Amino acid sequence: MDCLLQVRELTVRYRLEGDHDHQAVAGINFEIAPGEVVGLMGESGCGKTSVAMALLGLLSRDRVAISGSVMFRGQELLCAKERELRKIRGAKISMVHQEPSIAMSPVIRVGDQITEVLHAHRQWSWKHCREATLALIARVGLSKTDRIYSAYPHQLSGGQLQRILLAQAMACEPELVIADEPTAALDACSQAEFLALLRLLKRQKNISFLLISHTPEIQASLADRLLVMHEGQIVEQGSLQQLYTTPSHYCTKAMLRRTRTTDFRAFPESEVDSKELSTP
Amino acid sequence: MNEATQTAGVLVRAQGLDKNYVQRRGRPFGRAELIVRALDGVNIAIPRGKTLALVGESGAGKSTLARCIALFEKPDRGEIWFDDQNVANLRREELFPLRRRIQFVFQDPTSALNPRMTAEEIIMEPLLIHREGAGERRREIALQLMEQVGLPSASSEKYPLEFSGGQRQRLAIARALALNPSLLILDEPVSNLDVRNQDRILQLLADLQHSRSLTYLHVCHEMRLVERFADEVAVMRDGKIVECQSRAGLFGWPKHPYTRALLDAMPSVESIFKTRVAEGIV
Amino acid sequence: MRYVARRFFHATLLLCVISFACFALAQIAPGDFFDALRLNPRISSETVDHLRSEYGVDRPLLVRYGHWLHSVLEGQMGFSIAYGGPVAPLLRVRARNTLLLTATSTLLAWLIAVPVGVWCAARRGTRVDRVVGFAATTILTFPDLLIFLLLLLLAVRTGWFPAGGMESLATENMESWARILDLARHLFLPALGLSIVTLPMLFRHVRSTVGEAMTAPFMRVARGHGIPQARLLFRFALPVAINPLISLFGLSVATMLSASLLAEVVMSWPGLGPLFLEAILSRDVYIVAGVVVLSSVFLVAGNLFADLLIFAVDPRIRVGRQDA
Repeated sequence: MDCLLQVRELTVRYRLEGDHDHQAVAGINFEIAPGEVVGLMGESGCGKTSVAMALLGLLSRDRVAISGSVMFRGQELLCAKERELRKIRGAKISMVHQEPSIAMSPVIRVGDQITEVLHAHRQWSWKHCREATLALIARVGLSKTDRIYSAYPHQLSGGQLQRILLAQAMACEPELVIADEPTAALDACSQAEFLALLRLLKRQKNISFLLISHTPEIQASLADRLLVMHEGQIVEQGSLQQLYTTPSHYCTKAMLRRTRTTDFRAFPESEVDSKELSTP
Repeated sequence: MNEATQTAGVLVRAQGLDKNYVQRRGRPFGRAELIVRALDGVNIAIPRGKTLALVGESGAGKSTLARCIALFEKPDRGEIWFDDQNVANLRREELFPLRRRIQFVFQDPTSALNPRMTAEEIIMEPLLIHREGAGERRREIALQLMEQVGLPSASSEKYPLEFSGGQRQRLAIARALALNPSLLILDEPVSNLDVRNQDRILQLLADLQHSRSLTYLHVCHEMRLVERFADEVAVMRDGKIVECQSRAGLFGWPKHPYTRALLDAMPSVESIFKTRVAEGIV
Repeated sequence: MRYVARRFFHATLLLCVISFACFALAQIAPGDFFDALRLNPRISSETVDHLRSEYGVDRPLLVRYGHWLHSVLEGQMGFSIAYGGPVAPLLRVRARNTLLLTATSTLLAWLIAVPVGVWCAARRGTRVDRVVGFAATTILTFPDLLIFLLLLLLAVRTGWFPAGGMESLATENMESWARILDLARHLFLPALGLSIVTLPMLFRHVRSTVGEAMTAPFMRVARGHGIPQARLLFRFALPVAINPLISLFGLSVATMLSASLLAEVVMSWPGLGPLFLEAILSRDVYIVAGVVVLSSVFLVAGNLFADLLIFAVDPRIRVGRQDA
């Protein structure tokens, strides 16, 4: 299998004050093939975001100890120089962040922030980059592209901002997009639309996604393969079909196969309620 | 309003609530002002000892309504009755004794807890403000409450930062219970937590409601969760309540098209998986 | 427009209150201009009284204030007993000199503080940062007077710069570029002293606001998109840090004014400072009122300018939420 990303024995340890070290990620192994959506699923605090940060080299080396190997198309990322990494970030591997309202500069127009990414990687003129940005804004499903381009982050809704973040991540046509809880800040309707958008883009552009989310419903709707993380380790991995039909680890079972019709009030009177609920 | 509220007795009733916010355009030379109608003729009744879930998209006015009922803000128009007492226009001194009976749990426990106070100090703070108990007795109450919410009393001297997200929310709940309130208003209390913690906290809330006969006004945007904890559900949109029914009624036979749209946007893992298998994608 | 008009109205009100308070305090302070004359035994008290009534010094406070206001509106700003003429032309010349000095030193101070502050913010915690921080703190602890005196010492000992004044004696005969050069030589030391005095606080503020902007989440996100370091600093971090710095600018006008008083007196720069001192000591009350009002005008104008600048620069305040 032609591998896009190969992670071996990745360990991330945060150096805290005193002698306490916090090991966020403990020797994980996984691969991502081209055009594949790999879901990284786990509770909050299990180390998912640390993995994403480590892949892009965004953790400051003097406070974090990282070891292991991350091979992207045969190139080792963990010991690459900053100059090399800069070429890859945003252009080959990019990230869609969790909280759209703080992921952008509040004093620069959102369109310009997308154009910045293009300008940093392509040798085009600013004007050319700007035109490309307008096309990108349209591609992520936003109409009135001119108005959106010149808007500031605080003028847009959460859903619109999240799409802008996606446009920013897709600007240079990367091969791998890391989506960190991409719908956490959205409400139900925007969530559904955003996931549909991701699905569409994946089909059109054959991009690989590393989808980080603790919500089983989101993983179920997008992921091809799942990595279940718990306390810094990957406790189970496999295709969605495998993990859904035959989960082995209790975490996987808890997340994918939980019976979501149990009422919280487990006392005699509510037996009536749960009967009412079971009518589909 | 349906039969359930009339027979069980209503703890909080609000009628005709209006609240407008004025958003200035912020230009020194401009005059444009935007008036946002956060609440538009809202009528609501919270039955005693039950949970009323308030659902809707962000920006619908849920938090504004919660804050008005919590008496944090005065509505521009309308009446609010708490236990048959008209509370919408009371002065500050008159409101003070009322505040022990209405408590609030916020969405983000990290910003709702003073990072410089230890766990027990946080729980004792309301006792201090309302001059309840004295010295050692307060500490006892605080430790008891910690046990009741599932926090080990040995960690009473820890700071909020040393707890996990779920534990912080438990701490916030313990603080809300310190004065033995009748009404607990919860504004998206589990939205910032992951799935396992969500379940745990919701179970805790259910147990507490049963053991202390609490009434809850629970604001939540996730219909999947609402289905599992609510007795009655009120759906809000653009400052208005578009539908208010018992849980079974709303989920079984939704009346308003907006409610139906909300319900459609929440499929379960099972149905998603089956759809994908059917489409041949998995 | 309403906003600006409102600010102007407030400013005018403020100036009236300040000038009246100035007058009232001068009245309460014992003595007036002619007291010095009284000490001279050869001048009879009748003469003094006559002089006093001639100059209107013995009239009640409100009347004198009313006359002064009238005079301000006429553009005269009262009458200086010591200089024997209207106050306004006096102030005009001196104010121009003070403005020249404060503007130059403000420019100098910011030109040094901003790059150094940004540079240190980018290297927070390193040895370089700590050394520069230590130097700034040391300068801060030096009394202003000491700094000016040291510069004066430098001038006198080395003769590179003149030790006072604004122009050399033969300026009328020089060509324009030579005159400018001469002015610059005279201006250099006072401006340098004034900027050294205000530099440390400025530097620390720049360093902290830029440092804070650099730890904002969007910076890491931008880095994650591969944006080069220099662009990150100037295109992303600095614009966010600008807002508190502009407010600081408004405030620094006030400190600059009070520090310039000392600078002008010590370095003999013919600005408002020495005039003010002289007038206070001799109870020439109209000059005092005039200087106070003028300084207030500078202050208020500086703050208004800063506020308008923030409006222009920060989109969060300028543009409200639209339905995009």
